[in-house]
Amino acid sequence: MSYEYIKFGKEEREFRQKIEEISGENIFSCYQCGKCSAGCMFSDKMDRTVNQQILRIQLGQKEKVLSANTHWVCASCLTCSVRCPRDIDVAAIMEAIREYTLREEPEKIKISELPKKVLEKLPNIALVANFRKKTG
Amino acid sequence: MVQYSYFPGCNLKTNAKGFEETAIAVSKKLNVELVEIPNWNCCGTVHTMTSDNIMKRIAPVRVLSRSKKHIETLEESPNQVVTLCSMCNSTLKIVSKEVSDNQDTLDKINYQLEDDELTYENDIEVKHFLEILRDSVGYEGISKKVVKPLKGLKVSPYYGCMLLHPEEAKIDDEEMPDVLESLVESLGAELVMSPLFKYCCGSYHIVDQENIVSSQVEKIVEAATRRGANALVVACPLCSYNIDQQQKAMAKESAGFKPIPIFYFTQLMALAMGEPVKINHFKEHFINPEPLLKELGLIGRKKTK
Amino acid sequence: MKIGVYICECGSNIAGTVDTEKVAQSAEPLPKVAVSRVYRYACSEPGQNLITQDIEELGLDRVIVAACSPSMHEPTFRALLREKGLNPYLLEMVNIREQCSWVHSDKDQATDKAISLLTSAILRNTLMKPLTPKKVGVINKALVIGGGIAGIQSALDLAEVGYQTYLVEKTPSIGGKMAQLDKTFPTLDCSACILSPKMVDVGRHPNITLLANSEVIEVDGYVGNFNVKIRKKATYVDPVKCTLCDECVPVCPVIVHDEYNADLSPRRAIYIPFPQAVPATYIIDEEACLGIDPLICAKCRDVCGPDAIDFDMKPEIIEEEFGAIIVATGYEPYPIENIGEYGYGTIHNVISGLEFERIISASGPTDGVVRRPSDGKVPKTVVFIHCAGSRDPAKHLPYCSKVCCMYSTKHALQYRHLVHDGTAVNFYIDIRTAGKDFEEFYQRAAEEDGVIYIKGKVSELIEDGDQVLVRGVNTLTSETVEMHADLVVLATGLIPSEGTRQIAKMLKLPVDSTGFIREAHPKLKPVDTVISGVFLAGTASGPKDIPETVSHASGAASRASTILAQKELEIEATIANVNEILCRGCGMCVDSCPYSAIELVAKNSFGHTIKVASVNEALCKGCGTCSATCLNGAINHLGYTDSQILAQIQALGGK
Repeated sequence: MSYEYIKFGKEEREFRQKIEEISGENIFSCYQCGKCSAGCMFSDKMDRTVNQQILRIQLGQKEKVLSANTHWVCASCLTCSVRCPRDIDVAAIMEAIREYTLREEPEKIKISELPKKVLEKLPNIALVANFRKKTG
Repeated sequence: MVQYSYFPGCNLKTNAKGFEETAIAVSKKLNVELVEIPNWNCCGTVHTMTSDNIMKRIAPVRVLSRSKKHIETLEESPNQVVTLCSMCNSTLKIVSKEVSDNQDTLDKINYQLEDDELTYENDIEVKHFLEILRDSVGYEGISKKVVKPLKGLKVSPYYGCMLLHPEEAKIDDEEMPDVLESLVESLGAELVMSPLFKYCCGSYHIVDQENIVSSQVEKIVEAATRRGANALVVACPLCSYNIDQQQKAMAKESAGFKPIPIFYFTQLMALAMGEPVKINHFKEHFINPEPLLKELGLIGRKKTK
Repeated sequence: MKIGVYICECGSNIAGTVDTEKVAQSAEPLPKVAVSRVYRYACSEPGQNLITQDIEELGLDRVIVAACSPSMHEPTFRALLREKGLNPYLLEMVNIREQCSWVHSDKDQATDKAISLLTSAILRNTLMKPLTPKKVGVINKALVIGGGIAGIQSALDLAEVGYQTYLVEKTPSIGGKMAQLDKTFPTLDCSACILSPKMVDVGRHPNITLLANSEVIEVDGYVGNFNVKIRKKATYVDPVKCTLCDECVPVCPVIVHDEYNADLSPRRAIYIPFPQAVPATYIIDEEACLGIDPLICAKCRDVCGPDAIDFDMKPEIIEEEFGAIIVATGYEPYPIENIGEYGYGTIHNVISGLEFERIISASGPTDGVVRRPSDGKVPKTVVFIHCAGSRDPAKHLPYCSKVCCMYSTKHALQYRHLVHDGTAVNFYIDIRTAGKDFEEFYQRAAEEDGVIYIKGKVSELIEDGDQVLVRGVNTLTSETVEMHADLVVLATGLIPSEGTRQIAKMLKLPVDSTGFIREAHPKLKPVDTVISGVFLAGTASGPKDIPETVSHASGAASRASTILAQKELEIEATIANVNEILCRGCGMCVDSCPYSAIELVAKNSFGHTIKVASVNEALCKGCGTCSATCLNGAINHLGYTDSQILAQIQALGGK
């Protein structure tokens, strides 16, 4: 649906502030140049661009931010963060959206349901990293 | 011989044994000794980017703290902990910068560490082994030890993300690095530059979103082979696993796909310095490099039938 | 007579499309041509040396340069001729670049055209006569029209150099728009605080004659010698006697809108425009006053202790002569009521940028508390709409008004400073921050003050209860968006002020399609006009911010000084010349002259008084209109006589 009613109430402000608190970044530093999305090597698998996620956080659009897959596709390669002209740790904002979700529902990935074969064959570095990113 | 406090990290003991064994072997040739930290723990990879989570920072600080104690037992050891895995390197470097910038965080972490009778004073430097090679040993010193130049090996350096990102952890210029390039050249191999030298492999998504990793790997390998590479060199066990294993799967699926072997930079060094082949643990690779190495005459033909 | 012909290659600019050797050869057999050469860059020092050498060795007395437009290098080569003792008017430039090589692609045809142009110029040149420019005296006094920051700066600079300067301002006080601003971007300096010292300096400077409440009504003359009539309106208060006691104000029974506060507050018919006004005096608003007649109401006069009020005061006409004029007549806001979809004037909570400026000003109608004019409530959500009128060639202004991005950003930032729990949203098309520290200011507004920017233009505003429903778009998310605002501020565009339009007409200054006065050259003569001796300062020539206006104004003062510093000026010699015997005094030339340079004068002819046309040599620009208009062929253009033009046509037609 390409319509949004914009309001700046308590809910919007709290969502924005929580993301700012978790990431330690100033969301308003972003001036929407789009370089983060331009350099993101996973954008073909994202349903929303990285800069759009940031813009929506500025506007406090919690539902639309959380319903995107963008932050779950992000692999924390940090290319966006090192190239941001405003020195925003963009990847940290993606992490903050993940964390925001995980602090409510801690299991994005159900470890107990992973096949034993997967657990055995994968290097521990992959498992540790994945669980740290996808569980609360 | 300079002794370094060495932090292996989990993978060097499991699926990257070749990485560790070759590193220890070649460092001895270069008058460097990597002495493993006793009772080390997981670094806590990947480093958290939250600003408020102390828990996720305890493991790496504990590593730094134990390394510090370890260094005190070594002789003529610089105040540095050395890593081989680029993800460990990144995690430890970031946390070390964070606690040096924020005493309050360090105090809170130290409070947690007290149970183990460990406190960290923020007085240790984290180094990747590549930095030691570049800054302390020097490429010339490495060249001198080369007995079997890697002629015919067309190597494309693949940095992955964690050697170059973020600012706090990078070991070289994040957009124009040259440490792997210089190393490859000093070993007598041919350098093949690929624009996707730090195009993320998909990292930990291998656990539950394998499709992301496979599409990344396809692009990375294609970019290198199209430019004539017949091998990749890496510094990260996860990059290595992802690229190596995915190539095997792709080769199975499509007959047209030509996989290329992956080497840790220390494996290339060991080959060039004439170390025994078995320390490379090539058998554990998904794409076995031995046929190529034999074809190029870089390892003996004794075993071939 | 010996003519030297030089064909310039201008690198490949000309030689790329024109066979320069062939053109040079074509001139050799022509009469009087002593030498014809090609050179890579004729304007370069070696190129000029080549011509100098030929003049010395071959005894040339005329020179033809086939190169670029005469507007580029005619002065260069004329100077060369003058240096070598030749008459500079015997130089002829043939434009084979802008009018030939640059506009053609076929080399053969372009070469043929270049040959034709050169041939016609040579034939004309043989008929040319040496001309001597005339000289006129210069009045060393300057007139500055408009007392905003531009006029103030120009007047102060000229006065500091030592020239007597008249500053004429239409309203009762100098200060202009800047005096109405609360703070200035990007430094957030208090506008009045940085302006008022300059205003005070104007009032005190011995070299400045300040004529406030006055208008220029007639300008005659020419560079160095302008005759100007100024009407000084009556203020009905003697500024010398007035002690600024304010006793007169409360007794005045008339209440009208206060222009200084953008009509948001009331004032009386007797008033002082604002506390820092210069000249510092009360005046009576003629139109509002019950009648400048003590029989109807004289309450103010009755309470005036120093007896300063004089109902018999009459307007004066002041006539003065000036050597140079600076036009600093400024801008006015675009009438945003023209934008129907934004409902300004019908929706109560939609206001203009200047109105918001007054509302946030500590000296404004709400004493610096942000209250909306409709009901006095403090707005919690304020939407700022950029480009209200600007960048809309279809219906409003085609151009970018240059200052709105920054002043809206400033407004939003100031609002956030004043209302901590308020939300400021900017709807913008692009954010343009091309100025020193502007980008930093914009980033600061977002980063430190949480000002929200949404890329997209608002389509319409709808009154919804005591709020305004803003119907816009967020082009970055490709969503139409709606939101409710307590107050909407339109970032009004800038248009030339009424004064600018009037003065442009009066001085016959060409204006561009948007009504702003055209510069003599947009890049290299940004403060000159096409009329020599008349200069531009500030927004009369287009939107500018304050620092740009101030430097523009100083530039205008500096350019005016180059005239005021002269004892006499040389006037172009290629002008119209009347053959009085042929002239029959019909006056058609007088009507046709765009510069009012011709008039009919009485002349005694064999005992009869007849009228003949007379050209004011200082005013004539040599455009040739009169010469073409004259039925008797009585007006010749020196430098372009009929015989010369006919020779040219013959050469072109002979092909």
